[in-house]
Amino acid sequence: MSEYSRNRGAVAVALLAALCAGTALAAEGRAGDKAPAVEPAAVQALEAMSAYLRTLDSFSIKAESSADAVLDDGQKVQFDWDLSLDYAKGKGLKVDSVSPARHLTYFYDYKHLTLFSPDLHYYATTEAQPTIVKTLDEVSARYGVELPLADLFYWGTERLPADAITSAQTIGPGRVHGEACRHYAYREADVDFQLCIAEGDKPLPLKLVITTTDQPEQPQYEARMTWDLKPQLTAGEFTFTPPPDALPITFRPMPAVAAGNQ
Amino acid sequence: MALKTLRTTLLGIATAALVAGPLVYTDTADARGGARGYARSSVNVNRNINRNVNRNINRNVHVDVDRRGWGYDYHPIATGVAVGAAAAVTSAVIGSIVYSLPPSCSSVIVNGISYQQCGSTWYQPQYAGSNVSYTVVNPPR
Repeated sequence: MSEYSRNRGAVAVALLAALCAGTALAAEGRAGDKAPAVEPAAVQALEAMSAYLRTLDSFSIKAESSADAVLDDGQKVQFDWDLSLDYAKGKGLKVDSVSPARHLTYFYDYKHLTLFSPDLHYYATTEAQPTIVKTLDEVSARYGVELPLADLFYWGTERLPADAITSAQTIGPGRVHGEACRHYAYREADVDFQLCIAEGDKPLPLKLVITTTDQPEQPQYEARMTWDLKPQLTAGEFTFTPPPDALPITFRPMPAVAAGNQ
Repeated sequence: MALKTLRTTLLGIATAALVAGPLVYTDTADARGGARGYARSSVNVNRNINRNVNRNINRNVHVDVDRRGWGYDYHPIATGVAVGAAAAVTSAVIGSIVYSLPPSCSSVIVNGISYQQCGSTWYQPQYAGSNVSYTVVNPPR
């Protein structure tokens, strides 16, 4: 873990910020600027959660999520929506995102990725990569499409650089939807994130908070998750079948890609 | 209507709009303007690639800032970016992009691609990130 022992000052900054925000008063087991920036126990908790996620053959998640937008005058406003996610290894991934302002459904069956707007009747399909992570990377880079809760499929894959985390600490006990969890805080170069990881032998992330630190207003994203590890999933649900009134459209390439100067 | 005539007509409308103020033609357009930033929804996606791309894009193309996957189809924050005063003036020029349609459009599918015909103006809907955008196009054939 020696690669984690840099940026010692970051913990002091993080602690100060946490205290100012009136949170984390129950922080465990360390104090002062001599504390390691990267607490091994917090890294181990992230690694254990990540490894556990990769052992799951299928799961369903119901989540409430919210995210900030920064208005042109700098005011932050927060939006909420409900997510439901179904995953079966080797079969596919389906994510439904619902708010009064937008309904979107993402389908991935290892061959194609489809984005469907049930209210507007539009859908677009693109050929997919043979892994979820490669597909998520590709549709993000090419089209700017980012699937909700994508992180659940990245953690525990080899592509996460070991030294990306510059600060890690245990905050203390937490609770999400009545379930006990342990609250951790992590920092990377341009993003902070927090996890509340379920206690016990199923270390699932019950809450994820992402703070965008490379914008001055530091807008936040948040998701609170309820997990079902024995979902009843039907084989065909990951392949999109257009309803009769569906309208086929395309994904507009990102400008950098279209201009060939990425 | 010949395209040239259409363009001339639109130019006239645009000029009138410049004089009269913002041409706001949908319920969702809003003179408040749009959003200049959004929370990231992922720690890991395109860890090495996308962030730099996004930064460059955000600097240069304001309307593309909302490709993060959680924007709004109907809300002024999503639509106001493109359908503010300045954007509305040029919104019916071929190739321009808006995030909401005028009322009374009909869906037409030509060669497997959907279009929206709104009076004499044709729009091609596309996903821009997870937002639906509409590009003004020549009538498809």
